[in-house]
Amino acid sequence: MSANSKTATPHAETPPAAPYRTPARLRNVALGLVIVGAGLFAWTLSSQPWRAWANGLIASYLFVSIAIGATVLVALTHVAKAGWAVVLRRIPEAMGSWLPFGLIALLAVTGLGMHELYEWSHPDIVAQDELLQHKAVLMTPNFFLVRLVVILGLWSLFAWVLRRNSVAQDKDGDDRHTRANVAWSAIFLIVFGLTVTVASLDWLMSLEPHWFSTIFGVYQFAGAFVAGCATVTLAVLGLRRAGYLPQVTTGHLHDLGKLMFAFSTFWAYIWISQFLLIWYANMPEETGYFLMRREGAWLALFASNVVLNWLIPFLTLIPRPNKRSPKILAIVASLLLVGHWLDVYLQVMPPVSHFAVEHGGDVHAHGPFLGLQELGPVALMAGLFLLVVSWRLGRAALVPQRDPYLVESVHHQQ
Amino acid sequence: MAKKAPKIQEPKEIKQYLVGVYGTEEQILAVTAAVVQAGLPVHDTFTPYAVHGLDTAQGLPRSKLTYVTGIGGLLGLLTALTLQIYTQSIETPFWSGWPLNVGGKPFMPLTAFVPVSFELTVLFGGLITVGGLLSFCGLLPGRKPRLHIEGVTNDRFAIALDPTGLHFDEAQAKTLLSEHGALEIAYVEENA
Repeated sequence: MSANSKTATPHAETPPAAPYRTPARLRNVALGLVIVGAGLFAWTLSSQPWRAWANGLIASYLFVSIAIGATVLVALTHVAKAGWAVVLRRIPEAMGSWLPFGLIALLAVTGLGMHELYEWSHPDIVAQDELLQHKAVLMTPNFFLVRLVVILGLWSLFAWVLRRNSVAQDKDGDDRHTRANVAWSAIFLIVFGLTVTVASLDWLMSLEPHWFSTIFGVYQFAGAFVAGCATVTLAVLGLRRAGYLPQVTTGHLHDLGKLMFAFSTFWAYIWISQFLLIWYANMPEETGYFLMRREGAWLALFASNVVLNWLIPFLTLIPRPNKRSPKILAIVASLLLVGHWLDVYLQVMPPVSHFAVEHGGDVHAHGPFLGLQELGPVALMAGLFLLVVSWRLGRAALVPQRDPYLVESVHHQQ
Repeated sequence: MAKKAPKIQEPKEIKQYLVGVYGTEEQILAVTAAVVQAGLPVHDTFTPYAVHGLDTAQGLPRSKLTYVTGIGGLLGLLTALTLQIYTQSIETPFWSGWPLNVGGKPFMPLTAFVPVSFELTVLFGGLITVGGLLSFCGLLPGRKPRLHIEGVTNDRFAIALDPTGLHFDEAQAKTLLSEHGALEIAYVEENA
C-alpha cells in the first residue's frame, strides 16, 4: 500500500510552483508600517498610556486570532481529508507561523500594560471588592502570564508540527505525513477547543472581571475563524494577482467565499445567542456589558459591528457569481477584517477607558475613540505579520508538491 | 341551436427516444460531450448518482432551484414576522392580537423574534427546496416515470436522444453512441 502510493504521487501533474520571494515593494510597505506604527505607539504611550496599551492589546490579539483561525482551517481540512484546500494550504500554514511572534507581542502588552488594562491586577482594588477576592485564585498577574505562555506555546507547537510534516512531504512524498497530520490535527482541535475558552476569558473577558458569559469562548472562536478565512482569501487573491498559484481556480475561490459566508453567519448566530439571553434575563450583573457598549456614540459602533461582520457579507455572498468574483471576495474579506478589528475594539476599549476614567484620572477617556492612536499598534502588528508570513511562505514550495490529495485539489470543480 | 359536437380524444402519439446505455461515468461524460458537439438533440441523461460535469457536458443552463430556495426562505421569514407581530402587537378596532407582557419587555420586541424568524426561514427554505427539487425532476407523487430504462437507478448510465428534434441523424447518432462503447442502443417508448 505505502510503496504503491509512493509511486502514485502526482508531482508530474503540476509544474513545480514558482518559489515565492517577498517583493521589494511589499517589504518596504511592511517596514514602513512597522516604523510608522512603532512611532505612533511610542507617542501614544507618552501622552495616554492606557490608550496605547488598550490598542496594543487589540492589535496583538487581532493578529493572534487571525493566525489561530488560519491554523484551525488547516487542522479542519486535515481532519476532514478535504482535498480541495491542498493547493492553497501553504498560506494558512505560513500564517500559523505568526503564533510564536504573537506570543511575544501579547506577553509584552499584557505584561507591561497589565495595570492599565486589568482591574484585578491592582491589589488595593481587589482588597475592597469581594467578587474579585473570590476570583483572585485564578486572576493573579503571574498565573495569568503563565497561562498565556502555555496556551500560545501549545498553539505555536501544533502549528509548527502541522507545517513541518507538510513541508517534509515535499521531499519524500510519503503518505505517512498526511496520516500524521490527521492525527495531530485531531489532537490540536481538542486542545484548541479547551484552551480557546480559557484564552478569551483571560485576555478579553477579564477586562470586566465582574461580568461573565459562558459563550464568550465560542464567540471569540467564531470571530477568529472568520478573520482567518478572510485573511487567507486576501492572501490567495494577492498571490494570484502577482502571478503565483496558477492552480487556484474559481472553484477554490468559491469555496473560500462559502467558508466566509458560513462562518460570518455562525459569528452572528453566536453574537445574537449571547445578546438574546442577557437581554431576556435582564440581570444587572450581566446587562452592564451591553449597557456600556450602547451608551452615547458607542451605539453606532455597536450596530456597525453586526452590519460589517454579518449583514453586508451575508447579503453580498448569497448569489453564486459573487462568491466566484475575485473583486467582490476581496471587498468582503477586507470588510470582514475591519469588522473583526471593530469586534475586538468593542471588547477592549469600553472597559479600559472606563477604568481610565475611574482609576487612572483621565477625564477625557469617555466615548469611542478613532484616531491615529488606534492605527499605530495595528499598523505595527500588520507590518510584522506581513514580514513574518511572507518570509515563511518563501521558505517552502508555495503549493504542497507531493500531497496525495494534490490531484484532487488541482482538478477541483465547483 | 347547433348540437355540441361530442369531444373526441385525439389518439396520442407515442413518443420514442433513441437510448444508449453505458457502464461507466467516463463513458457517459464522453458520449454526452460528443453528441452535443455533433449538434444532435439530447433529450436527457440518466445516471444512478450525480455525475460531476455532466450538466456542463449536456449544456444545461444553471438550475433555477436556488431561486425556489430563496423565495421559500423569504416566505418563511415573512410568515414568522407576520405571526409574531400580529399575535403580539397588532391592535385595531376590527381585529387584534393578544399582547402579552413578558417580563416587562416591549410588546414588539424584535430581538425576541429573531430565533423564530430564523427557524422558519430555514424550515420553509429547506422544505420548499425539497418540494421544488421533486417537482423539477418529475418525482412528485402521482407522476409516472416517462422513460423506463433498465438499470439507471442501479449501475447503468443512459443518454436519450430525441428523434423528432432538430438535426437528428439516425445513422450518425447510432455510430456515435456505439463508438463510445454502448452496451445497448435501442428506441424506448415514452410512458403515456
